Amino acid sequence: MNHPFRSPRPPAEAERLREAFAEAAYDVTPSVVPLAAIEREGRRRRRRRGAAVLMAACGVLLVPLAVVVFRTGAAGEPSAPSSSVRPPSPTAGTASPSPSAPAGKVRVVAPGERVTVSPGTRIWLTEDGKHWTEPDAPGPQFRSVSDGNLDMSTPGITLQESGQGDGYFLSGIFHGPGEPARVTVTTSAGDVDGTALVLAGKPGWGVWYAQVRVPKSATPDGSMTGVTERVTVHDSAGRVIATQDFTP
Amino acid sequence: MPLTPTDASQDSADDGDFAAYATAAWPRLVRTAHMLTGDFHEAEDLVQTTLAKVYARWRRIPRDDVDFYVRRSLVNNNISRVRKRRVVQLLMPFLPERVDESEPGHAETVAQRAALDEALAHLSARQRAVMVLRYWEDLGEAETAQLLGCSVGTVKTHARRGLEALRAHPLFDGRHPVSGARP
Repeated sequence: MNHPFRSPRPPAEAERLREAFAEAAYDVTPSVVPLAAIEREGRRRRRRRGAAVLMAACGVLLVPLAVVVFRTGAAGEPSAPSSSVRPPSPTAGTASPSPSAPAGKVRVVAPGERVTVSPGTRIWLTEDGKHWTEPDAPGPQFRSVSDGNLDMSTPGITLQESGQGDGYFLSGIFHGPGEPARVTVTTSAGDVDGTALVLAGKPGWGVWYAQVRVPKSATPDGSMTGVTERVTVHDSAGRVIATQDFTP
Repeated sequence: MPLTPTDASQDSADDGDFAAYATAAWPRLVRTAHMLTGDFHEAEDLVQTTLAKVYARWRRIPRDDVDFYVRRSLVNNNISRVRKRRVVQLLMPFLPERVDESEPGHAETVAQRAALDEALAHLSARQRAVMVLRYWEDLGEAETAQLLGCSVGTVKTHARRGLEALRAHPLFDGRHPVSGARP
């Protein structure tokens, strides 16, 4: 590959860095390209963009008509203030956590049983781990409980946090001894009750999820900070099965 | 509007082009994405999303510019992802070894990869992108600037700060010399 912009004499430090990057990169073994899923999602995006263009074109055609109607309607009326001041919403600037529905539940699900969290957001469990879909993701996502990335010998909780509209979809895997009865999630917008999904037969792990609406005042502005501060899974006696602090 | 035979054959040819490109580019893109995200699953998700977006615009992308377009899309998608999503994976201190891994020094390689991930995790998304593009994708400063839509000076600043941050890490301060890269 020809790189016309490359420095002619890279320093030793840069070379060492290149070697470290190459070493780390080739230690990763990519799976087979999911071509069918990519093309399916690509077609969906193409259709959606086509629809958006059509809507925009309709809008452009309708604007002159709206202007004509507005002028016609306003001609016989006394002049009105061109702008008005809208009082701030009573909830503006305050935390308004919106618990997931149904909140604070534990559900025993069958392997592969789809649980709909919201339109386009579904979770299901298999013996291998957690699967889920989100409206903006091209296909199902997966986190394994058996590939060795999670140390299942000690209690723990993982977190995946996604922005969805004006809120966040929070979910993850928990593992630890005991039967879960309650999930509490502390976020920058307040506490919410989560929902736990487990497979029958006490596998020692499960999936938790919650949805939270986060006002702008509580939305993180840092690139690597999220809204979730702590997640705790309790059993029916109130004992902690697993808890995890997610503050940076 | 129904597709004419010409449209259909054009679609088929485009799909074939894209399939060939995606299949060939997938491994390297996943490795680049892994450098950008530090997480294997996130990396594959990121490349999948990027390629889906590329597929949607495939006919409009000049074939000579595909690599540039895909790299830029990958970096921008990652920056968007970082802005709206935080993923915390409770990984083991050292990433798991593959079953078929038996070569000597593998533990050192795994430790080094974990150390590199950790060192990169302290950089901002744009700093990290500059480091990955410069030192893994092997792009020059001007090409990196063009790809990120910023000035060469900005790239130099990001690279300098990124290097300063990495120098503070044991992997790069001379205590852990880096062995030769694999082919």
